[in-house]
Amino acid sequence: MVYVVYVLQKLFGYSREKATRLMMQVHNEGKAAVSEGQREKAEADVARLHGFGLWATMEHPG
Amino acid sequence: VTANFERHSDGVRFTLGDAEWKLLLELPAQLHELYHDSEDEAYNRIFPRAYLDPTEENAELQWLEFVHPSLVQQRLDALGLVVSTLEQASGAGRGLKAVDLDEDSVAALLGVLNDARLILGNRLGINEDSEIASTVDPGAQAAYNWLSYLEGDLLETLLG
Repeated sequence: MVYVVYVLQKLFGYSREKATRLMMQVHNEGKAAVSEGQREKAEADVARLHGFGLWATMEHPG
Repeated sequence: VTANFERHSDGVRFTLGDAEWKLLLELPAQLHELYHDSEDEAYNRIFPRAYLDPTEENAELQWLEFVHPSLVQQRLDALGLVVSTLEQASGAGRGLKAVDLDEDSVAALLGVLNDARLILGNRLGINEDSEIASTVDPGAQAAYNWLSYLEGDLLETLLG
């Protein structure tokens, strides 16, 4: 769990608090929107998360 | 008790007992094999789909063609760096070996520890939903606990 917090802080520059909140959301709800953007940015972010072994996918908001 | 990871001016000093070094040095070869075995169940955990929406199958195929190879290469590069770094470890007395890690080798080692932990977790039935093993395999469970401990210790050093 600390690993997820560490990766979110490192990749997105999130504060410890924000990264922890997102990690807890994943833990409790099964998923969390950790980043948003157009397809190209989303793909780049998913690739970076996969590079760290995090199980990230893309979906349309709504 | 000697800490496994200690921060110093240029990076992180990593210290481990001789027997544990031997275990750690077995990981890269095992991971190397898995990174090339798309039939292994754990492969899909290390290289998951990017799109879950079935109407995005085309985008997923493009991902497999254009992005996936670079993700595999990143993993292989990290393995190479971890091996060459660990091979530089030297005796630190009392049956211990130590090596200094720079930023790149810290990142590579963290990735290797985490991938190995994910793969063992997959074998044991431990995942995001359940931290209780569904398969009884004391050896794998001990290895999983050890990797979790090392990873936690490294993260504590990095975040602390």
